[in-house]
Amino acid sequence: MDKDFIASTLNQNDSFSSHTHLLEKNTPLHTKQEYQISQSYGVDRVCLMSVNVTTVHAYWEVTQDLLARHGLNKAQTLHLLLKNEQNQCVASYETTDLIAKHYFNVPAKKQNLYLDMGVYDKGKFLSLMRSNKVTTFNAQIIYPSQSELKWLSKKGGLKQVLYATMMHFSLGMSSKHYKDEIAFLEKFSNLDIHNGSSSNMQKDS
Amino acid sequence: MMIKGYFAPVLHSHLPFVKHPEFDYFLEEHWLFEAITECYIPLLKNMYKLHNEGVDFALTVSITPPLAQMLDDEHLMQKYEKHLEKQLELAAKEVQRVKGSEYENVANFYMHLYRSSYDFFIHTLHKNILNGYRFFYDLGKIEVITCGATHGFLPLLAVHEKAVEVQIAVAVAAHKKFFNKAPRGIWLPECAYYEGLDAILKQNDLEFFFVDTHSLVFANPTAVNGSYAPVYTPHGVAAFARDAESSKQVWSSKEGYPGDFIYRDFYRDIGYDLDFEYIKPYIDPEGSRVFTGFKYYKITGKSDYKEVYDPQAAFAKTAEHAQNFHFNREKQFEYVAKYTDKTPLIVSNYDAELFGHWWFEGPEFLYNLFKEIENHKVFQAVTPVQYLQKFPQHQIVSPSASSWGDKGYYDVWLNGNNDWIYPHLHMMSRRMESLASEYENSANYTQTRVLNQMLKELLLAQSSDWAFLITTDTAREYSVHRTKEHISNFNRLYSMIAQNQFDIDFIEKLEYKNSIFNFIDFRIFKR
Repeated sequence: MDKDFIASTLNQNDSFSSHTHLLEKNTPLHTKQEYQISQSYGVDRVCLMSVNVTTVHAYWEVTQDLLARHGLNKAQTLHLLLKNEQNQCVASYETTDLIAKHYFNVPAKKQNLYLDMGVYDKGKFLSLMRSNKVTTFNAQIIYPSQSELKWLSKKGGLKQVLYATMMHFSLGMSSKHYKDEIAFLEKFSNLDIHNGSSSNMQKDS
Repeated sequence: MMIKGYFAPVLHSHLPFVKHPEFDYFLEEHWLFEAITECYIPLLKNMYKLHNEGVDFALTVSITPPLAQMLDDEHLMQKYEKHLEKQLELAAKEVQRVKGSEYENVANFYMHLYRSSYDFFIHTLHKNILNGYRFFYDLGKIEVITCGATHGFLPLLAVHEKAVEVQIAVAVAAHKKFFNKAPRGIWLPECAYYEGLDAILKQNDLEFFFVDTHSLVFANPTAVNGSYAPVYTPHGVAAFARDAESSKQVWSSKEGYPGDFIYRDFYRDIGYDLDFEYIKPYIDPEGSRVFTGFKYYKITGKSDYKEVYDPQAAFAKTAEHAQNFHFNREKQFEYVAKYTDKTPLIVSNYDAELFGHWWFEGPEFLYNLFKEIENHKVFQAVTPVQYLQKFPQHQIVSPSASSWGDKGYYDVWLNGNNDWIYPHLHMMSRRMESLASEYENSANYTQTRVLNQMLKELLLAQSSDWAFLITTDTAREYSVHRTKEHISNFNRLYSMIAQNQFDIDFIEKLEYKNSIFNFIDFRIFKR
């Protein structure tokens, strides 16, 4: 074995590229033991979680006992109503699955939401259970009041500071709303976007 | 000379708790061994170098409780010592194998590297990596901060808020155990924040945490100094935002320094390149090829063509890049200072493992950067605590919910591939809380053991790493396995409590294998 051998490996494809910096791709499992876990815990519950600015996730488990208590059968269509603080329905979903999940699209604004899960009986909604409340994400700049701003930012450079904060931001998040906000700043702050850089990103300055 | 700004570098050090005493060799334990050799030891060695040369430095380092636990684990450290001995053996063989070839210099470099790492581990650190961190923590050169107990993704655990309270409380207790003092700050796992979390941090006497940039931009109201000064949350905890510009300069493999063609190529490794029979004793005994840490090529360019790595030239290049980084921060400070009311602060957050593991020469870059800062004195390196002492008054805002993951929110940890995890985690928390109240006054030794182990299994299942690795399709099978293992263990223990029938062998096996946080008491889950 010598350098020629190493050189010959140069033509091999490397299929083990990883962006996680540390962990290797899908190495085989070293233990034979398998664990079976049940999806059902035999409890009635519906849960809501925020995912991103336009998505919330729900999962639920409905027992047959709950349905029986309300005189319902297991083929009953269940309705999930996603409601805001004013109890207005912002999205809905129908299912006959007693243990399942769903992703809801929601308007991109900060609001408090919860799920009301139930059935329709002669056109009237009968609530079986409610979820926890979630607060969705804010993705807009909320400006301080003029008096606050005067007191907080004596140099009056809020837009320039925000611009400097945001202009190189592309790694952690790249939501459309963030880009919209940058566009907003470019439009209204009279900044020259090409001269806005505070440093030289090139390696050889 | 007047200081133009303050610079707060932050390194987040974390690996999930992986311990398999039932195997002599377990592939995933090598995540820890690689991180120790390539990242933690080089970082500590460079800190000693700075200290011995009288160069001032200030660095914030999060060491998560699972990582601290592993670094303090006798079984794992014995395995690591054996691993280093095998690396030395391979280094000696490599020196012979490539003698007289263009690779000779690199092989000699590795021989020296592993020999000095071994000596440092044995004689300076006394076989405990935490000793190095404790030394600089006690000296005040670094601020060691904590993290979630098992790096749980707090916003998604918050459906059952007691789970978040326990993640934080156990983390603080673990920090006290491993570092003999209370942490003053916390790295929120994945920088994930939700409104109200600051109240729990305050209850645990934590003074500061970090968020991603957009958390302050979209705060209510927006932070008037952007990411260039911290803010206080409604409950009085300081939030520091990541500076995107300086992050990108190091993080990005395209625009950032680590992508320079002179640096060591991460992917070409003799574990994959060399003859199987030759490399077999140094890879997975079951035959899977793995990284060995012996890499002979520099990045060279964007094609498959690779040239031989020159360690001396690559390490010299870090001095240039440190100068460039320093130059750019100075310009950034000058620009931003025109608009901010305070002397600006730049917070640069990185995964610690970037330095040394992925960017092999990274620890040398940090060493050179601190020397640059010391030489020029135009800006000053600080920890958040030092900055807050200098500037105690800041705007009060409510930071926006966010994370530092891809797209900035919670998608990475909650999507169609990993959402099956959460119904289990939430139910386990609910059951744990119920049992904690029911058995609060129990004096039954076995019951207490089982309940304590249930809490450990819950905490281990909550680790955000499993959901992350499933999403990124990296070690996916292992991550699914680990998640199901802890859920299954918890449910089996739950049945024992419910039926008052105990399988002592099984309990003992879990206590030995999943031995994290032996100090915890299940009653912490009581409402």
